[in-house]
Amino acid sequence: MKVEDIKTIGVIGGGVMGGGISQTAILAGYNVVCRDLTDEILAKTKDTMINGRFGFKGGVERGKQTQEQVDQALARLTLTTKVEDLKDCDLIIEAIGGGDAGGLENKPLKLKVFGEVDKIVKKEAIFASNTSFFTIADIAAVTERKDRFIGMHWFSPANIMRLVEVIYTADVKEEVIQVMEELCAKLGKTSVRVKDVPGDTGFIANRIFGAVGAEARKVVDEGIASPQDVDTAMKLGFNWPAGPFELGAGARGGWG
Amino acid sequence: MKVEDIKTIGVLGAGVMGGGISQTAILAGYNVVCRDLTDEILAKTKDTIVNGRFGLKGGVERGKQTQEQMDQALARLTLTTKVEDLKDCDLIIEAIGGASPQEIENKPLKLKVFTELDQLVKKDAVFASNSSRFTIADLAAVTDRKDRFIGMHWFSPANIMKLVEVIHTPDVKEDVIQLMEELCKNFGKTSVRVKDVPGDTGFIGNRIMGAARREAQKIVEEGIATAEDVNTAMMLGFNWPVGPLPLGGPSARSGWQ
Repeated sequence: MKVEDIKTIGVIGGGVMGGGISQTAILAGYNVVCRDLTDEILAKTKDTMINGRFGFKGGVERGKQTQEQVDQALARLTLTTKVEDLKDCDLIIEAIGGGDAGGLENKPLKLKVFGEVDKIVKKEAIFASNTSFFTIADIAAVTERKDRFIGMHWFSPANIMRLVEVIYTADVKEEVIQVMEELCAKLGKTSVRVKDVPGDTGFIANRIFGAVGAEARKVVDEGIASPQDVDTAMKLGFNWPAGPFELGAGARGGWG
Repeated sequence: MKVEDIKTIGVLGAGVMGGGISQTAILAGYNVVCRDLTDEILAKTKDTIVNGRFGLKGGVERGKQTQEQMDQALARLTLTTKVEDLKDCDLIIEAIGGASPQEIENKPLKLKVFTELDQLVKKDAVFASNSSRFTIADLAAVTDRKDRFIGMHWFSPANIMKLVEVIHTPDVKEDVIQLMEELCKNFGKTSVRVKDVPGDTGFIGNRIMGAARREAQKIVEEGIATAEDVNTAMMLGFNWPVGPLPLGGPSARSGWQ
């Protein structure tokens, strides 16, 4: 498969990440079939895409795109509760949240969904997971398309942040990695190439930020400084946009 | 001592940090006696304060300060090779480099210099070290003024970056901590209060960046990604202005040129 063969992208999950990914893809000219469990969720997804803090409406007002481009983009979007509607997609991007467990992500749920979707979606389609930290090989293992199963980790808000981590397993074909890198370029993203390793380590950015968070907690636990002062130190000393204790609320809460 | 009692600040070491600290202090209205080993070093310091990338001249051109303010500031600056010229200072800020290109800081050298200085400088003066990672109590231990010895860690370029870590030992008096916090404010800085701990851990900022750098190095060593991609990931994924791995380019070490 070449990048030009990707016309329709299936996005599993219409949450903060799935919605932002769908928004990016339809604006870049791709057809998107975005699937979630209920019509209520999907209505909220569409509303966020249009009226949310990083939505199309604001984009038009700020001159990022024209109303015509938005109308055309939205015409490429199909929202559905039927998993069968994904069957003809050329690429599936999985962006499922924590489910009932209440966590940010849920590995058993991803395994279950990929096991099902592998039977439904056409054989040549590429599967990608937007997981932020699970080992990709563990997820690919439940499918019969390990050579075209890859990690595609976006950052939130997905239509704003430029980074995508492309995570390759030992089984994935080089041409699939390249298709994903070219797709990232078409979506206006910068990709970095990351080797998949066992242990759910968090690729590059979340792994490093995890080490930062652990050290920051130690500084506080040892009574060295307050969390506020730790955040201040990293912002004013290293020009970080947010301190280690300040991140997470926006992505989790949907950016308001 | 109150913050108003600080009129003259002695800065020990006229490198990238000492120069930037001196520049900040004279612009904020303080007399500064800046001491280094040779006239050549001091001439370079003055040139950097005036003409450097973050110098006063550029500041005047960009409207940060007037020519008059710059002239007044420079009139408050004394550059000297004589350590005796520090004796009447109200506050000493030590910013001595590593004395070799391989190291940023040199603990034995700091200990030696503080020992000498303690004999020389007036008894009520506050001593501060701009060390970026050495345990302050270890440095204070060589002096007879542990109750007025404190960490004052600036970030580079010192006249630009807003942060100062104020590091307090168990021996330092609360009013000395507060005096330093007020002084930071007078300099236009934001201070954070940091408890001194053993082991040269790097306070807040450098300790946390050290953890980030170690993890980044592990990722490269494990063959997971290139150093360039690691830096890209942190810059584009978390909006850091630079990545955790050094890839060359101007820095505090090279003098920002």
